[in-house]
Amino acid sequence: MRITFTQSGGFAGLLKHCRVDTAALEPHERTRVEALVVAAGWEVSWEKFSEGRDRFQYEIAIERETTVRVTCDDSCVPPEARPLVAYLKDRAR
Amino acid sequence: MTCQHRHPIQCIIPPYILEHMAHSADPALREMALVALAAAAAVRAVRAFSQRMPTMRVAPSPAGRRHRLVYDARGRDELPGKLVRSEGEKKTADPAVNEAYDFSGDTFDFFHSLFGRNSLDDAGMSLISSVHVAEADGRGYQPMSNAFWDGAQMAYGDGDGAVFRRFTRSLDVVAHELTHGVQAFTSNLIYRGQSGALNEHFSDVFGVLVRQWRTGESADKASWLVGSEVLVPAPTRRAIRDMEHPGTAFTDDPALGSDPQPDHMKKLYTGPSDSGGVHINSGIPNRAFVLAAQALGGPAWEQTGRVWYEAMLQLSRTSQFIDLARITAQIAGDTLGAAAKKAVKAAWKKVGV
Repeated sequence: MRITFTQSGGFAGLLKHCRVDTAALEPHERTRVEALVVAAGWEVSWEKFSEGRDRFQYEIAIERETTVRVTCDDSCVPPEARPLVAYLKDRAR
Repeated sequence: MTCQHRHPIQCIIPPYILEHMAHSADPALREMALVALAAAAAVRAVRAFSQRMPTMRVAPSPAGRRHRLVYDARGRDELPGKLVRSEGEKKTADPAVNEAYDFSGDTFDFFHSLFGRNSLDDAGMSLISSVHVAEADGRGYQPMSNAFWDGAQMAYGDGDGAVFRRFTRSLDVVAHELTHGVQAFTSNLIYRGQSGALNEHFSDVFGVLVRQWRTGESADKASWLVGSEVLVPAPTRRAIRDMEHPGTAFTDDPALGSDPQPDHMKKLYTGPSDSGGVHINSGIPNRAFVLAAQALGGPAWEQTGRVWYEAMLQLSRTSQFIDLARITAQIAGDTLGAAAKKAVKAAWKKVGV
């Protein structure tokens, strides 16, 4: 599984990216990431934005047998997907 | 609007699952899904309508004049939080509360005294600020390295302490967020592509103008940096944006990278991130504004600021850079004369518009 993440927007408008290939991770880390993806529960692509201004924006692509793309701002991240987003944000540069 | 304000089922269960559940053989499950889908449709309708009619979410002030309310989100993401200071009340021991209160007052006074505008909606709506807003990461809360306008109020984070400090430290950040509110009641530029970059541009313009007005800086000596007070000082960073020299606010910074703002149409960002570069491409009109202000001279809020304010009222939701260039040149000509019109046109030409 490969995950591509881009954070943009926010007051500062910074662009940050990371790419995670679970095949390249240590087993315990791979298990953790796969669990975060399962918990997020994203089976189909979706896009959602609030009417806010200067919110963080996320573009997340999860490549498995099929690719799911999620594009949203921070207010639209469902609670069950926040740990995955936090994990990706920590790694984005 | 945040997720906390929505129907709980809509937040927890994605729409595609609800649609699947709506076809379930279980009548109870089917009914629950149909109710949730109807609620979601209603929320979407309210959101679509409120984007066009922001008055739906206005908190009116008791006397129809300056009325500030500052809330403490206490390290959570639920807005607004606990009310900690209302209009006319004494300073608190919390600098974030006092900064949000004082700087939103400065912004109100700026728009009121220069343009006769009575608050964001020009009808005296309350200015609601939440400080100490945090970000939920699923395990707990982290200090938010951001400030935003949520469609009805301002929200300010405390920063991570490593790169960002509390966002209320900067008058131009506070005025930037409040100007998003003014725009919601005027041009309400769509937050995508060039119209979105103009939305950010106006917030940067009036953000710095409020500060220059407050400190009495003239255009030739003024600082055009945005948000320098919210950055932890480092040799690789001066501010979040530099309106005079877009693309130079930070360079090879270990945390921030390099400033992505273009200073000319030739470098226009055309990617999908940041809603098509709303915080990136605003560098182009920002530079045009500074060039116009320096050409017209004097305090920027007096002549150039008036031209841009009038333009903000006249633009439509879909306006592009060329529309702002045309309207500002026309207003400058009508109100300040032919030489001013020429200076404004020259400023836009210099950035490739």
